[in-house]
Amino acid sequence: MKAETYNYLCANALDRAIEDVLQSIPLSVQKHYNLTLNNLDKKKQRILEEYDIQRQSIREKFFDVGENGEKLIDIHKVSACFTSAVLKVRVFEYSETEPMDLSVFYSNYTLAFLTGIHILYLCMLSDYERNGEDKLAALLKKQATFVFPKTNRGHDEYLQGRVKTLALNDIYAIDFDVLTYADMLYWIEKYNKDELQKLMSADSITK
Amino acid sequence: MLQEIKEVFGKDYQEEVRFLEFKNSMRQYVKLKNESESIDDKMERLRATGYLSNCHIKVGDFE
Repeated sequence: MKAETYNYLCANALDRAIEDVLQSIPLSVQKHYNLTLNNLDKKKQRILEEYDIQRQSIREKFFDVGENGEKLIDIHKVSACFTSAVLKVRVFEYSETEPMDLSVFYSNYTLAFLTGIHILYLCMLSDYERNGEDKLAALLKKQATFVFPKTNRGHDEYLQGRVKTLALNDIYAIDFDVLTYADMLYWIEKYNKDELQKLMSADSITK
Repeated sequence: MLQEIKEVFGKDYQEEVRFLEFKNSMRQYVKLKNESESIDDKMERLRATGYLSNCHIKVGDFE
């Protein structure tokens, strides 16, 4: 990955995800648990290093890299590798006191999940622009978010469920499964594409 | 101890080991395909237009 690409992803995916996490935790709670972002530049460098290790490993093991090593991994795997890297680095720091506020405890898992989603958002927008799908690109920019399916009654909301899953896997030391996680990201992307398509169709009917 | 040694030479265990070796030999044939565009190209397209993301995702409450 080129340095310019990573810098762009940091500014438009990771930083957005950090803002989303901070927005979700009241200031008083952040202060109480001393939730901080120390050495962020250093951590961003480490995220890139961890990403590269993960990407290299899965590319060599699981992919047909082509005769001259020219073939790459897809963006869902890229996003999954970034999720894994963010999980390893622990960007947010906080006081580990009891009783623990769950939103604080989940902060790094939420960040990891959202970083992958923000990367998907950027890639989807770029694809619309490449394909000349200007109306869909405009709709996505106007929406300025990603949507998630409703879950069945009695279950966690989709985003909360995904964050808790990341947390549970980490707590029980279960290895991060890049392939399955990437598949989940594919379905989240498809869901968003389908919903945008419906919006566009509804928009055309009402005009 | 003798039982453990006997198990190593048991038919089921040998069959497991054989299948494990066979699976390992299949690694070179089971490869994912990908012909899609690189993330560098995707992000370059957005950078070229000066696009800065205003995307925000509402986290909601954890219960």
